[in-house]
Amino acid sequence: MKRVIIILSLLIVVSGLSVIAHAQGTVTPAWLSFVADGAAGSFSCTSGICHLGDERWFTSFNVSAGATVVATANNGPTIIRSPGTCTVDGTISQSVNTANGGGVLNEGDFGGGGGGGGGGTLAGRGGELSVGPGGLPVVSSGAKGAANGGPGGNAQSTATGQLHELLSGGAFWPIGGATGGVGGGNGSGTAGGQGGNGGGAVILVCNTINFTGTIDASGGAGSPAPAPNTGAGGGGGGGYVILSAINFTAKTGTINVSGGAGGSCNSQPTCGPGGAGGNGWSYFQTIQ
Amino acid sequence: MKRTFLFFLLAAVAVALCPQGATAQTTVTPGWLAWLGDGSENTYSCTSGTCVLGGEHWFSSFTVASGATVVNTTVNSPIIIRSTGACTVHGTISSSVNTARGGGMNFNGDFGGAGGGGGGGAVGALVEGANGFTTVGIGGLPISNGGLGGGAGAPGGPGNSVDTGQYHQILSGGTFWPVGGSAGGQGGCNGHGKCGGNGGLGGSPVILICSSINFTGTIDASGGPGAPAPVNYSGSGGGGGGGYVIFSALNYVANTGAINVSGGAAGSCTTTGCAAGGVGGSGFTYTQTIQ
Repeated sequence: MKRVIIILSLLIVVSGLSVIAHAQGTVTPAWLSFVADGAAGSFSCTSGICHLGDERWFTSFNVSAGATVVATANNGPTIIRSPGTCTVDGTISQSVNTANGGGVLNEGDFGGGGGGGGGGTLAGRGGELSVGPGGLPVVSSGAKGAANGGPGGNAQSTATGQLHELLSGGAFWPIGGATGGVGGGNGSGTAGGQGGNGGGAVILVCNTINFTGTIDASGGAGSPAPAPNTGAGGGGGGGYVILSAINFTAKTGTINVSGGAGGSCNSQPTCGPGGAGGNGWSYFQTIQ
Repeated sequence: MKRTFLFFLLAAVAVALCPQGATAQTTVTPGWLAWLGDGSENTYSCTSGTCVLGGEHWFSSFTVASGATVVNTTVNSPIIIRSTGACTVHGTISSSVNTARGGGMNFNGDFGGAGGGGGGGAVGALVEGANGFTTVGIGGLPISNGGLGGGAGAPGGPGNSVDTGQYHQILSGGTFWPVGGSAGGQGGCNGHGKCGGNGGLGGSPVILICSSINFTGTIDASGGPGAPAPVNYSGSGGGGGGGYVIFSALNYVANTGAINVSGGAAGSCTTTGCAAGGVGGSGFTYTQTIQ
């Protein structure tokens, strides 16, 4: 009887202390610890290409080796919440660089900025910014290339002081990196190369994550100059990847959040090359 | 012996139930004001002179020594410090153009004061001062109204200060990019191509979320003044709105420092035919003990 009382008492104390630990403010931000209710059942992509985007609440999530889950819509993240296990042995794409993913076609939020478009006869366009609420700039873009062949500027990568704001505060519509600027035209109706799409956002919040595959949220390359006296497009900014779980059984996979390369001139006259997109970032969170 | 066990059991139950009861009553601090970060950027200490720091940082401790100044020089960006250890501010933190050339806000703020309107320019011409910038939420919806720009020859209106019902929303709901007070409006033109003084910059937010806070220094998140009227018959600029300062900590060793979140003054009018801008609205301060 004494042993029972002692054990019971210790259990209650431990229970109490765990709540005190919660109160000490070390808990994971709610948006990175909510594993949802699994209302959409289980999801499994076992081979080929599976299309999936936006936020999904699965009981479990599986991407087998050799299979690819791709978001083909523009400007929408891939967010998976699961009270079960998320297994990624295959590939998840939020990039135009893998399985024709959509990526970002305008301003991003906390990914890299878009590279500037190179100048043709006319000036190129600056890359798109990554912006926060109200359209305020977060990450700067690359400058436009000047008329008569000026090169587009490289964009900024996301800094720690910027990405921490998203991690702790959350976002109600994560986007990713920004689009690169279009190259300058030739002044006779022919536009320069298109800017690359930004990489999107991939966020997994699961009870358990087993990640040995690949996640691609990289920015697309700028298009080359299409004709004489036109500029090349800027590269898209890299997106971001957040993996948050109570347990990680493996996190040895490969993540690509690099910015896209600027487009080349391909020896065209009066052409400025596009600037590179800025890099995005990745983050692993153990839920506390 | 039975009494000892009984006493121990009751004590254990009390320990267990007290914090759980508090949790059930939903008195716990909102998550964004309780997250101390992970300390991954290690210690930070500004011991003398001026140190530049902006954005959000996750330190294991944060110190601004007496006589030292940490300044956020980036426009439209907050200073947010999360620390698993102590935050000690005996010196100065500036997110204002008024101290150590801080960056401030040159556009719409969010939960700070609104910008004052610019003073009107010459009478008889379409030279009204610009409205002060309004503070806005997601989607650009207005929160606190900017002051109206003055009509020709008339003064600009004051920006609204943020009120309790407005700033409580950021305290409980959080935001992922706090920005502060709004910029003031530019003064009107003289009818001959010469325009009025620029609006003052808004003050940006300063947010400290730390295990403990020891604050005996100064934090400046005030709005900047409008610029004076540069030529006759032009208006002066409106003042920028004040930003905001939020402390959240488990323990306060001291909280006796000085905080400035006031709106900026209107630009001065010493020229002929000048109409003055309006003052910027005030921001707010808030102290939270993490529960």
